Amino acid sequence: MAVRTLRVDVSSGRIQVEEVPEEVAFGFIGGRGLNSWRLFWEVGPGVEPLSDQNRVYFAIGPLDGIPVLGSRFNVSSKSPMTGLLGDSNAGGHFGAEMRFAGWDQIVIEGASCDPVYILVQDEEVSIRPARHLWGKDTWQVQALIREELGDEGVQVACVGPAAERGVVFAGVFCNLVRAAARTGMGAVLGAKKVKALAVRGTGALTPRHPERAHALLEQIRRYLINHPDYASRRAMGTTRLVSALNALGILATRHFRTGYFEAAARVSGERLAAEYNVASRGCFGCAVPCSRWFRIRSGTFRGLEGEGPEFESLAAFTARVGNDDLDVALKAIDLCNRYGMDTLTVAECISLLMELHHEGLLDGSVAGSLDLGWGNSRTILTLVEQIGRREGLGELFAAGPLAAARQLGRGAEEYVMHVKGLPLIQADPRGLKGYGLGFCVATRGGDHLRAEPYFELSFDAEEARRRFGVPQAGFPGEYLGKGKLVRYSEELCAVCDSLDVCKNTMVCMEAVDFQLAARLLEAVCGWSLDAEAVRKVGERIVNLERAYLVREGVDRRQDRLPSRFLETPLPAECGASAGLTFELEEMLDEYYRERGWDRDRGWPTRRKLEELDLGDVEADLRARGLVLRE
Amino acid sequence: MRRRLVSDRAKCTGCMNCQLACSFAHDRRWQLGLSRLWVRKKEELGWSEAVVCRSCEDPRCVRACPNGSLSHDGGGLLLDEEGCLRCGDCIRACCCGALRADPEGLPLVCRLEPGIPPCVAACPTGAIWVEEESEGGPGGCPEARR
Repeated sequence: MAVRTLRVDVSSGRIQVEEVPEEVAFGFIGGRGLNSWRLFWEVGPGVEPLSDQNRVYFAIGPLDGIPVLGSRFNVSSKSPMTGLLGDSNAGGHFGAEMRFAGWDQIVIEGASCDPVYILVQDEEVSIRPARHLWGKDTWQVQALIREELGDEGVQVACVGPAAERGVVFAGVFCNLVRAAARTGMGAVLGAKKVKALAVRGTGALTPRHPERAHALLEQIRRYLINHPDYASRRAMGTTRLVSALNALGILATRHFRTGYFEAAARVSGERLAAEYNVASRGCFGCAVPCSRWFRIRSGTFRGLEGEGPEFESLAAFTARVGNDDLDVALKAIDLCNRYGMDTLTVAECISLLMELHHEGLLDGSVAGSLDLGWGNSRTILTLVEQIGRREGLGELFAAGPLAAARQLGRGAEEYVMHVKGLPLIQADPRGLKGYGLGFCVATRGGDHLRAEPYFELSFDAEEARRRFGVPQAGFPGEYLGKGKLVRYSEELCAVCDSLDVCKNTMVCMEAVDFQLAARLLEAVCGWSLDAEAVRKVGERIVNLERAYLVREGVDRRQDRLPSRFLETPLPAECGASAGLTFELEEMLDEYYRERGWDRDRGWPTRRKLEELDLGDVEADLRARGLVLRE
Repeated sequence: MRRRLVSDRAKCTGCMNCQLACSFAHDRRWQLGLSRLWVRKKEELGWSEAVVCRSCEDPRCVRACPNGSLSHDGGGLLLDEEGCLRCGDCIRACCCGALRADPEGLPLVCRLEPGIPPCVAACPTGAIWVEEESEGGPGGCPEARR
């Protein structure tokens, strides 16, 4: 099964097909790994993220299109939010459609003068005018393209109005609300005047060893159905975490001023399931369909309906901004989806403003007539609209919360809750040491999905000792063993993103480890990699991505959390997490040691890169005067 | 005893596991266009449903076949692939919209073998199942009866 890349240059209209060399396919698997490999070699330092020189990479992995695990796709580019490596992935049905169309990777290059969309129907590729789609929201774009093609089955990954206006945290959306939202991949497409990538595939995925593949997948299906989390994931998806994290005192509330939201029960996944959810929805091929269709039955927003939300969006527009009105949160999330923006970053902008106001650090003229008190419904919705349209305060935030804070001055920058320019998620690292370390070192900036060290919430001392050498690794408030845990988890996540299956099933529910991933690759693709080789792919991807950051000037100094977490303890109401701060340095030391990176800069060593067959990467860095230690 | 597939829109999540399982069971590959049932979707309304062959008692598709290549027995449909003219008359006649053609123009007929069909086994929400009706139950086209 040849791995194929399709290149579409929207400047010249040139369309090219490339076969991915076998050693690259085996070395990086696909999806995120394949994207990061190309990004490293094709988009170097000096490329401005919103310029014509940047490229956008869509990729799927070898397990896209199979049943059971859920098919995803990655979108990567140089990030206009961070200036570093940008990468985000989404579920839904787009990834599988790329598989059946026969493309493993689609690269969008150059920039068009007029709005266009790219249509891929199996082998047929065209660049089509999209003037009629420009300005349309993400729901409209998908519907219009399906209508114009007369095909409900075409899968559309598109950008909303925010991306067109250069809002740097605009994402790529498919199946209405499925979002590759983080790191601003939509903004890069918007700058290229590419409104959408539409794909239709009629081909087959033929496993190399059908009976073996079938047996493995049935075994995984049974495992998932019998998993203790199965029922609650089916009912609530990730929204079950609102109550769970609040009970631990680590639900990011009022811009991380506390980890306990007193109104959590009113905005929880349980309440959504009981009063709002009307149907269950699922990603392509998933055996644990965990998405939900909601409908607001009464009140101001009566009749509003849609898919989702997931935990991060829900908690962002409730706890983070101090809002206890679930309907308002659903409306805000719906607006973000339609404008095509990352909910976490929009909520960061709003909650940052509210905190600056609370602290008296905001010039009175900034807010105008807006009431910046915590949780003000009108303010939240007005700001989402302004940001989506890049009007009013939206202009201030268009380049991201960090740039906005720099413009506001008065020390506002210290209040931005981010790592490397990417706003943090909805969990407070003071009570989650492994996750906190993961935020610091994540190769796309402050985010949990690079590591997802879910095991630290196992509270299982015995298993922790067996896997990571120390019992502390299984407890969220402990430091010891977290370097090892994060290293392991990062490698598993890198493999997951490269097979391009779902982290809920593969990582959190622990359905597939390196061993099983190797067996699946053998059965589906006929690739003979053993478990250690698969793990090494994960390690190779993490190191290549770190080298990308090193090339852009990152070292240990940027692997840090906002000082709030290091200095201010969680308040008394946070129960088990009350009084906790975050001590980073020793964990970082342990992590770098586990990684085989040098301690003072956090750079990979020459030996490490060579061991991972990344000698060419080391040579590239050396040619730029970046000399790695032995 | 008459057996037929039934699907429930309220339970369908649109995950496509039924189509994957069906194409795999017949052809040992995953290809949505080869499955004997298909998932109809209205994404903006949040619904989807598996469109299944209902094993009608006196099926219009069989009656429409110009040369008798399509027949049925107590279970599902039987196709004589050699004799099939690929004219598409059966597909146009199908009362429930389930019947489709494969890329070569042959109708994709549901045989409904004894036991649990792969589509039923693969559905994570129980949105498809086999109904068994004793002789003398309500006859005719189930779609028309609705």
